[in-house]
Amino acid sequence: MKIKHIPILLLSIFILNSCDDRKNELQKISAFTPVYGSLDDIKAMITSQPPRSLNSIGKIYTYNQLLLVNEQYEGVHVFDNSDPTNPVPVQFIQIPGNVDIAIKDQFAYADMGVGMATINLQDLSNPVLTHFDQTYLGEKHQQRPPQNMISAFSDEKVYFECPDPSKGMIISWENKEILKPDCYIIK
Amino acid sequence: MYSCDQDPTSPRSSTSQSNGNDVSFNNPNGTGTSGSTARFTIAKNHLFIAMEDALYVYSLEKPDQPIFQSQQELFGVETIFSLENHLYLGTQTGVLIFDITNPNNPNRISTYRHITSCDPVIVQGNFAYSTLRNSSDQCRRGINCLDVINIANKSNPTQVARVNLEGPIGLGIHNNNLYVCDNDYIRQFDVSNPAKPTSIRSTGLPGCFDIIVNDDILIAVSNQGIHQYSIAQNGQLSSLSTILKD
Repeated sequence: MKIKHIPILLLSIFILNSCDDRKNELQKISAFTPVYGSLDDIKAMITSQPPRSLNSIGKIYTYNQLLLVNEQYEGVHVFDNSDPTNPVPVQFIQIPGNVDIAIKDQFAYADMGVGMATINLQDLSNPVLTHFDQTYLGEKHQQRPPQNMISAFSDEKVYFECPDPSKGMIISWENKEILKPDCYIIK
Repeated sequence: MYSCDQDPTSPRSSTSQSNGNDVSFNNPNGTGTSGSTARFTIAKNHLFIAMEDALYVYSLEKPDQPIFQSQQELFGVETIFSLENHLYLGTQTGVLIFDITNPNNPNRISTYRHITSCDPVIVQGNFAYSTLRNSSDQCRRGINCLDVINIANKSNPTQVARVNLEGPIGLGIHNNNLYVCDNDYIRQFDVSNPAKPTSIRSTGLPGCFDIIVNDDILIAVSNQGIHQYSIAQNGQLSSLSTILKD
């Protein structure tokens, strides 16, 4: 999988070719665009919500009498599993992009696709982000849409708007109709 | 076909809501337990993250603010499991064993190689149990089986048994009983002699993909929901509850 920039030469060929092709070039396509933001924006994304039903079930994790069930790319269902014959839904913790989680003491370390959130869960009804880190993604993964978005995309060639570090930290990605951007990944 | 779904004891997710404050963190000590397909694990006050192409290490000295320590380039990593002084990474080409005497810099001491397959790995005592599965995209040329690996000598892991299965993935162990999600079943093997895993029985669970064993309770996750069983003395599973998805 490689990130490539469309060679300028190729672009100019398209543009010079004909009016029709030029029209194509200006056509909007489905692509991913980075959403820039601050730590406060990520804080605001991590919220506690009333329990909801399971839908796209991911990994499971237990902590003391708690059972956590990942809702793929959305967050974690929390059950009170003191009585395994009757697990009681407690909260849904919204963690956009989440797949994996690990807990030590009252802190959860949760993957968000665009980085790892450290969340203080002492009060389950008020999860508090204490740290956000992108190192584990590696440099190239910090600058492109998360793997799950790429995998779920229908085409082999996944276009995305090239990140502009001067705009700040990428806190999520959106799928939008935009003019064909320069960056893409071949699946 | 979906017999588990009709379990009369199944409580559908109810809407009752208990007070989240006291449920779980009244004794906030220790580390949780993940299923065998996890990419995150905590050991020796460090967080280890197994990404597809590298292993990342964070110190949890300040638990509210993990500090990045090191990374190692790897290939095709899918799962991570820690036990005592070692990490076991399930990758598409084998099981990698790391020594974490110095957790900031895991030291790779050996590789148990197999043909390209997808595989979680778990460890009990001197033996590692690894499933190999060919049904995902990356591993379509692989095989479907359970490997038992003697890891008494961590620098020279050796296969002692191989059991052919249909499409194994997550697994868990309780005393001498090994449980493996295998397509539509939880397979139970007696591993009193790990070199000769003996098939004991199968419990139907369509779309089973991971298992956590906590004391005498087995929690399995399938594409239908969350299924909990009590484990009898002989290893037999009895359904305790099911949370079905919508």
